[in-house]
Amino acid sequence: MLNETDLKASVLQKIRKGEVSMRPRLYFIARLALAAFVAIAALALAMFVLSFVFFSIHESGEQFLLGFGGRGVLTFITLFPWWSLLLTLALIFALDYVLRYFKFGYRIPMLEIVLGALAVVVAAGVLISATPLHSVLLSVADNNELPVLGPLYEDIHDSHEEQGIYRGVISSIQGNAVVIAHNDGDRDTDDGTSTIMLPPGFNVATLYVGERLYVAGDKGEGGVNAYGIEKFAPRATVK
Amino acid sequence: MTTPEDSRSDEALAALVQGNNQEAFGVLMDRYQAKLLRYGRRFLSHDEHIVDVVQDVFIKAYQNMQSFDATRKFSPWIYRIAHNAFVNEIRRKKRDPLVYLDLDAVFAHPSYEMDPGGDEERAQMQSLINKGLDALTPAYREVIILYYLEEQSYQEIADILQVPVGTVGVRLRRAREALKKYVERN
Repeated sequence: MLNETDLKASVLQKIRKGEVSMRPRLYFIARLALAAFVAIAALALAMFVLSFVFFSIHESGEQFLLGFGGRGVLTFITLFPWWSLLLTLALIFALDYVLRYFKFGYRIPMLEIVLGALAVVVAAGVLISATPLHSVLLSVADNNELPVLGPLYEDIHDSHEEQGIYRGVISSIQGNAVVIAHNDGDRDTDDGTSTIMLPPGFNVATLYVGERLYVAGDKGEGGVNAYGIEKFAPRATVK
Repeated sequence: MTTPEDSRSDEALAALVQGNNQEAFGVLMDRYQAKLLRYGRRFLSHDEHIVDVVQDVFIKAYQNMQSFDATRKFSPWIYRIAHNAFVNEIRRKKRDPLVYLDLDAVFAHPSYEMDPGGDEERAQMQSLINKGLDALTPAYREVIILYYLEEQSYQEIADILQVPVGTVGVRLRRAREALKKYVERN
């Protein structure tokens, strides 16, 4: 155990012997640059992930579920990519953690940083989702040319029939039923046709062959008994 | 050439150390050894290894001297290193992670008191501190020590603890209340 009177001599001796040396200024500059890079990367990734969520909800037509009553809302909750929301939040908290490395970071209350970052990420997410970025990536994924993120994009056009979601182009209209053909143009095998029984009171005259439909319903003997139907036009090319 | 009576500021000496002047570091050690030992003894409640911990503080200060911005105050910078070393020591001893979500640092506290009182209040607090400082949690104990015993300003404490200034005000008020309650009960 070191004696109080020997403290200074002990430290200076370690310095003189070279046991303790000063880290170069470049080391701290590099650390600062790394922290800045990680902060920017976390922010950019959060923006990308959230913009993907906005894009996928719009592109898949899942926003229509919110207008299909309680069942629609429940299905929307089931289909919502919660992982991406959690990842976005994790990235924002990571950003807050890294910003504490900077003087301005710890001077601002955590809640203000998190809410501020969330507002920026949401705004940027909306803007990015409106650009062609994700449409282009989706087309690349459909051509099986997008590594890593490919399956994520392909999932946007998947049928989700097990959750009672059917999408496709009207190939024929027969009385109170329409036949839709689903072809998401990718490499999976969920393509096919479905007969949709329109909900009571639905005006079949508003539908035309060639229109794209988003349908929520239950599979029955004669086809799918729809409880919600909407026309929609995805931005990306879907056959 | 530097002497313990060197009239140069801490910041000027730190700038000399950055230029590899080891004697200047010796002067800084002369200036801060007693302060950091006192701070550590109060914070760590008379830990027997306090001299070793303070030695580590000086070693870390020397190793990281190039990260010090000589246009800012030196005192909060070295107290920050000491704070980290003392927290690590508590963590090591008690196996208490001491990492918690500090709710005081999460929310904004715009209406904190900047100056909790004058000399009379300080004298009263000195008496309370002598009677009950050890009973406080480390988070409250530290802010009391820094403000009343080490006479650091709110901004300096904020820089040492790396929390918003408002958090310092709120934590100090809660620490005072906890201390008063403890002394009244005992």
